[in-house]
Amino acid sequence: MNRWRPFHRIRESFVAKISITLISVVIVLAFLFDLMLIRLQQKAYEDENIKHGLSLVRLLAQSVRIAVFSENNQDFIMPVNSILGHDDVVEADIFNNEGVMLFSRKKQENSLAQILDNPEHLASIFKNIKEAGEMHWQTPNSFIFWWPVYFNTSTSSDESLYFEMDDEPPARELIGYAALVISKQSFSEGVRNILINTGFIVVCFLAVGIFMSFVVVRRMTRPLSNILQKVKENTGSAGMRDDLSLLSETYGGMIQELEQSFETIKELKDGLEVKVAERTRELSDRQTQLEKANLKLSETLAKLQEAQQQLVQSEKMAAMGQMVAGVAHEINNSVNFISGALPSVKRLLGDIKELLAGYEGFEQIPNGDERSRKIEAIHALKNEIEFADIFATFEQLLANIEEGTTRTTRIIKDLKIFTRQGAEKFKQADIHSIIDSSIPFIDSKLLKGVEIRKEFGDIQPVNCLAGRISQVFLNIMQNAAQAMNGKGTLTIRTWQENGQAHVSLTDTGCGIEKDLINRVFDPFFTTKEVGKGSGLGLGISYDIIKQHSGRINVASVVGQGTVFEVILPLSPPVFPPTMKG
Amino acid sequence: MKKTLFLIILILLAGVRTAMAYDIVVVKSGNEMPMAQVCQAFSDKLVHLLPARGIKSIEPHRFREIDLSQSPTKSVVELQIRDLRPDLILTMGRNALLAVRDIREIPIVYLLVVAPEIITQDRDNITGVKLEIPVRLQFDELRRLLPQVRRIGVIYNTAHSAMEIQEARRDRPDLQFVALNAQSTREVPSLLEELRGKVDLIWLLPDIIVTNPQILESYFLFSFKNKVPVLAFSEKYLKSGAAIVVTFDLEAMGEQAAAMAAHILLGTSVSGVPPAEISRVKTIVNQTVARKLQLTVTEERPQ
Repeated sequence: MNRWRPFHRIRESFVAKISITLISVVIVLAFLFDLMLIRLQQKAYEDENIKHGLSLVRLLAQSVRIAVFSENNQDFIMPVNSILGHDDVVEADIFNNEGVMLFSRKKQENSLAQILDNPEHLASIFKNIKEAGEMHWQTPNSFIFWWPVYFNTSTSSDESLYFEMDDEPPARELIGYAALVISKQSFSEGVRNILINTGFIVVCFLAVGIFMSFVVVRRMTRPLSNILQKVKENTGSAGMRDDLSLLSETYGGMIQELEQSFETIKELKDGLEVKVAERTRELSDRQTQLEKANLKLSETLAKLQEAQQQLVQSEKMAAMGQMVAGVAHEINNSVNFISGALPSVKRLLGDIKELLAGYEGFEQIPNGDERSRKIEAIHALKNEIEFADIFATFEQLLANIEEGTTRTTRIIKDLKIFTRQGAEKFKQADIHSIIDSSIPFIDSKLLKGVEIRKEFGDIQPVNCLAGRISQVFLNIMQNAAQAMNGKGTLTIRTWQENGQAHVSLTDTGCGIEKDLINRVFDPFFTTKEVGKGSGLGLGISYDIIKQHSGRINVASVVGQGTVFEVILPLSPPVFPPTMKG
Repeated sequence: MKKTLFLIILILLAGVRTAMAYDIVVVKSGNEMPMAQVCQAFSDKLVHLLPARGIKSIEPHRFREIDLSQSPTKSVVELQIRDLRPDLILTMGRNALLAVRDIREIPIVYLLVVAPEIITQDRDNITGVKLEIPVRLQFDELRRLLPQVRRIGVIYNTAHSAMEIQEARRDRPDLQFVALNAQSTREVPSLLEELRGKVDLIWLLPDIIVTNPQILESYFLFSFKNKVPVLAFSEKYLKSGAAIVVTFDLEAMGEQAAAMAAHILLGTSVSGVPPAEISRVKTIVNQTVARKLQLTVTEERPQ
């Protein structure tokens, strides 16, 4: 059974069927074409040979006309030999108009012997030539051609001897016959060559045709074959039915399914129109509702904006409170230097007054005991007031006072910078100075147990609004201090990279929950207790950094701390300083 | 009185015929021959010889043509001519002369007619220029061009061209004529074979028996085979293979006939103007044939 499997497969395969059919047609057509071509070529070759033979016999008849006219044998020799010079011409015979042979020459045995021996046959030939103008036929070995020999017999006038008489009708007289026998040897060879050449061409054509048919069928049916393969795989009917019936069944099924699908689509379409109308109506209602909701939302938004303004104001007030507290603390600290030094200064001045009083009238006291006692009393006073250290103490107190005034002056200067924000313009500023000037405004209570570690790198001056940037750092540091709750380390690190200034502020505080970290810049978002923060500080900071075309990043681990990184371009595009808050 | 005399003179002048401008009828055998050329030469020469003059001299000579190919019958031609009453009839070709030969009251001048005496016989109102090349002129030219030629081969027919042979022998005793008589055209090829090696030149005669188109090829085949030139009498044989042609000059013939007509129109009787031979010949050498026959032609001079 398996032995016949390939043949069975070919019988089932539509590609094989088409290929075999096409190749069969090509073979049959090639065979018919071959036959027709051979026949046509043979006929054309034969006609050509006959034309050639007729030309030769006509030429012979023309050449020998004077010889026939004069019946002079010598005159035959040259034209007849000339014709016999052709390889295939084997015999030439000349007759006069009475049928008497005037001249004959041949290369082989007499092909016309039978005719010449039969006067009746010869007479009938001459009769036919007279009627038809020429005669030819062929025997198995040769072609035989006959042509009449005419002589011009126009009735010439004496004048015609002198002039061309064009109008005179030509007249001729039959004076004899020329016969030519041409061998078929070359003709047969030519026919054989035609057969071989044509056969070879047809075989080549057949080979190319079969190959091309196979290739074309393979290529053209490849998509169909793929479809069939998939159909077979889907239907699981591989090798069970022949391709065409499978295709036909599948196609029929598909048509049926398509018709059903179209019906379903039609039904759906009918229902869809109703549904679309309903949906449109519903959408219209929804739109009306949305418009109402939109109106309410607009109102709510206006209220929210109003509340935001209030909150911003509150934040301002809170910030101002913090700032004032910080300022007060700082000034208090500074004043403490002065006020702490002032009683000591007063006391030292009293001691000096007392000592100087001891010296009063000392010059007028003569040397003696009184003078000695006076000197002893002065020495005792000096020892009492520790006169030797008095000026060192005095200098220390003055230094304290100076420190207090210096600090106060700096606070006032920083305050001036901080309060000049509204009128601020972009200008080159040292980022480190901005950081330093911000630190004093942090609530000092929060910084009691906090170490501020500065790791400043080399940064070029940044074109910025210094007050705004200061506010950003203050907000971040304030938050850090709150997060550390009075204990921890705030590390401020700066560096420059790719034309940007980087400032990272790392605290060791409580950190921010992962879920909340993305919301820290949202306005009003805060994790602080009610009343301790408005939730606007970082939002405002975010806006300020954006205003400077910079970025602010935050990363945090709960329990370990938070890192804020502020990135500012060294030369941001300049915007008008209009910012909320 | 003066007015009456003037009127009489005017009436007499009106009645004066165009005596000094002649009416000439030209009868043509057909259009195949170079008749236009000859006719033109005739009319040009006649106007030159007889310029129209007198009271009505403003009117030139009138030439009216009758083409026999258009007027087929002899009687119609005669009627036409008698109606026209011309001063002179000029015929061109044998058929034209035959068509008018019975008109006796009008002078007739013929042209392009071979052996016209057969037609004219004893008629005294007919004269003209014979269409034949004088043998003497032919051989004068031959001697001039090919002085080395001595032996002349010629095939003739006693009935047609025996006279030419006699004339040649008489006029040119310095030449040797090998003349063979052909009774029929069929004999010409074999007679030519007889001349092989015996002659230096073949002389073609205007003889319808021995020089007809059927056999003409034989002469030229013989000529080429044996390197013997052919002396012919018409230009038409040049293309067939004649080496030398001594033939008539058509313009000269026309002018010669015009001179004869002028004499007649001026009053000389036709019998006083006898038929004439052509006075001038034209010699043409076929240089191609001469080169192939290796001829040494000493001179070629148109006459």
